[in-house]
Amino acid sequence: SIGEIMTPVLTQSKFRETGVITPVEFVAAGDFLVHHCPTWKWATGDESKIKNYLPKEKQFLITRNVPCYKRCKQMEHKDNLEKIVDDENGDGGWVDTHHYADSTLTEVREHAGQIESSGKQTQVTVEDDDDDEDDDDAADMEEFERTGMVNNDPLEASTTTKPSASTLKTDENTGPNTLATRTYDLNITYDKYYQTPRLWLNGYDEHHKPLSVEKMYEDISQDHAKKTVTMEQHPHLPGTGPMPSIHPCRHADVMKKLIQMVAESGKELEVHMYIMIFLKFVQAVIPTIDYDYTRQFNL
Amino acid sequence: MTTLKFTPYSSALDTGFWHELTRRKLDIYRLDSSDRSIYGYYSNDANDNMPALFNVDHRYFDENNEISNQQQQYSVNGTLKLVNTIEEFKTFDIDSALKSESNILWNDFIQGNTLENPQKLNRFYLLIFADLKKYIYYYWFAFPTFLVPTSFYLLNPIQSIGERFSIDEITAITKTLESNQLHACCLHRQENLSFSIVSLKQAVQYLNKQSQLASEYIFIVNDPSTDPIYPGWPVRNLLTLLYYHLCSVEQLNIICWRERFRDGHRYVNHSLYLQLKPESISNIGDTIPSSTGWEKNERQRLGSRQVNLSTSMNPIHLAETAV
Repeated sequence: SIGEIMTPVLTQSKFRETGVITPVEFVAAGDFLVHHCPTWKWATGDESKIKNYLPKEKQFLITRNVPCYKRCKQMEHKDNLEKIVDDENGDGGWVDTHHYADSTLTEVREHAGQIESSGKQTQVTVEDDDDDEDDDDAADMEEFERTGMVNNDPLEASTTTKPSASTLKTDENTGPNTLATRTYDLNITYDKYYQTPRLWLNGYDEHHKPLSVEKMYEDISQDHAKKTVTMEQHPHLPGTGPMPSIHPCRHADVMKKLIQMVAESGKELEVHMYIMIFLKFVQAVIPTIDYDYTRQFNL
Repeated sequence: MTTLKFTPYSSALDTGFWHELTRRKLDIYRLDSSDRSIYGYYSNDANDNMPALFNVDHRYFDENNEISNQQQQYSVNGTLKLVNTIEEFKTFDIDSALKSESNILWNDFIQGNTLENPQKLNRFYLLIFADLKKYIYYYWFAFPTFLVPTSFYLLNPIQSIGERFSIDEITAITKTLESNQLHACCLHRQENLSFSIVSLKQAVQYLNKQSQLASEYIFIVNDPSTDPIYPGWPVRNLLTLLYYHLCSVEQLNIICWRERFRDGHRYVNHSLYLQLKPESISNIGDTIPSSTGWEKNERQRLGSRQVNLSTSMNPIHLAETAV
């Protein structure tokens, strides 16, 4: 965009005052993240899209195959977990829906375990429910199956537990007892215009096939889905079409408030912690995507 | 005695892969459907209940030969076959494709190349037909492995290393493996709770000379599986390799190395410890054993998969939904 091209690269550090960071600070914070959470890695992306204000091999951060055990839509809404981080202007305040629940994800994972054990039971009903679609799918698949070929490998573990749970339909007519382990690839880029990190989402269904945008919206907190998440072209990947990202227009404000909260509790926040804190606050938008970051600090 | 079973790979292609494939098909390959070399990778740090994923993404086409192993990601060589028609795809001779891919794997096993370079423990074959008018892609992966030996007898029930080793031992093993980028290697137990890394080739030589010292050696293989009793394909292929090269060893110790990162900590205790009683298969000589490995489809039958990307790739659709 023009705005981005016209914006000069930020060179003076002013994250404490305004919540924005320079590319150099982005790299320092990224290095810290990669060191402490090695599931995150630096990536180069498409060579023709390299931004010269970042090192070639450190253009953006990526973590792959992040499980998403449960649809955000299905999460119970719990008022007592909410904390309004930014309540200055009535609409668009950033609500951290799981502020007081450090163990939210553990709960989700435990829940996933319970679902799995009850998976077999529910499968029967589910299959009976939507036979139309299943028949079509089956016919389509059958066309590409090799008849007469049986499984002749006695040492292959039967994968009954996992696929039986995960082949359950994830669509409207299923109850809450559905386990669908979707996965996400998450990217963090440096947004030159807003001078903050920016998070991108790329989702896959339980068979690792790309999710449609509508399906990905199911994994985004309903408070944020249409407001905070926008579709744009990824700045570093080869023409992959529009991808959902958490729009960075409010990131600096929220970061500034979080930095002040840390300061008020008597701690000094170093800039290399920036992306860790960023990942903590974007968790409110995607609470069921189980990516790694350090929770060693409290706000 | 019970025999060990293994969790097959579960293929995972990223969205960028299909975009890059489309570009290459239109600009470079066109109607040329000859075999191309390609790369993929597996990781050993997946979360609980996740399948043993095998990833191929947009970076892994032929000329990007210098794939550096990133931490916890282990690259695998393969063959890409891009056919031109749906009929060709449906009637493709999958048996001979698997056979030729397994032959490469087997020859590397028996000639000792895999002992020197454990990246050769795995290979894959990827058959694709791209319907670029409809943006529908048909694909089928094969991950070759051998039907010989017919069983892997366990001397003891499978344990996690957290159950089997002391905290100090696990710390020592973790430290020894910290900068290890090999798909598989061997640890030799020293005195005072320390271990040294030995290559697969050296370990096989030592064990064939002094088989009574087998308990001092623990083979390490990075394992994509997260299952508590079933390791993944790299473990299976390593065992086949060792059964071929070891002559008369009574006991084989294996750690299926699994890592997990959470809250800034590394966890390894869920890695599996296996004790096996190997039987030599070197007597099969020059004959290449039969192999298996075509991935099953979503219905758990032998068949290809397809992905429809018309909503994210079709320019007409994109124009309609653009704001």
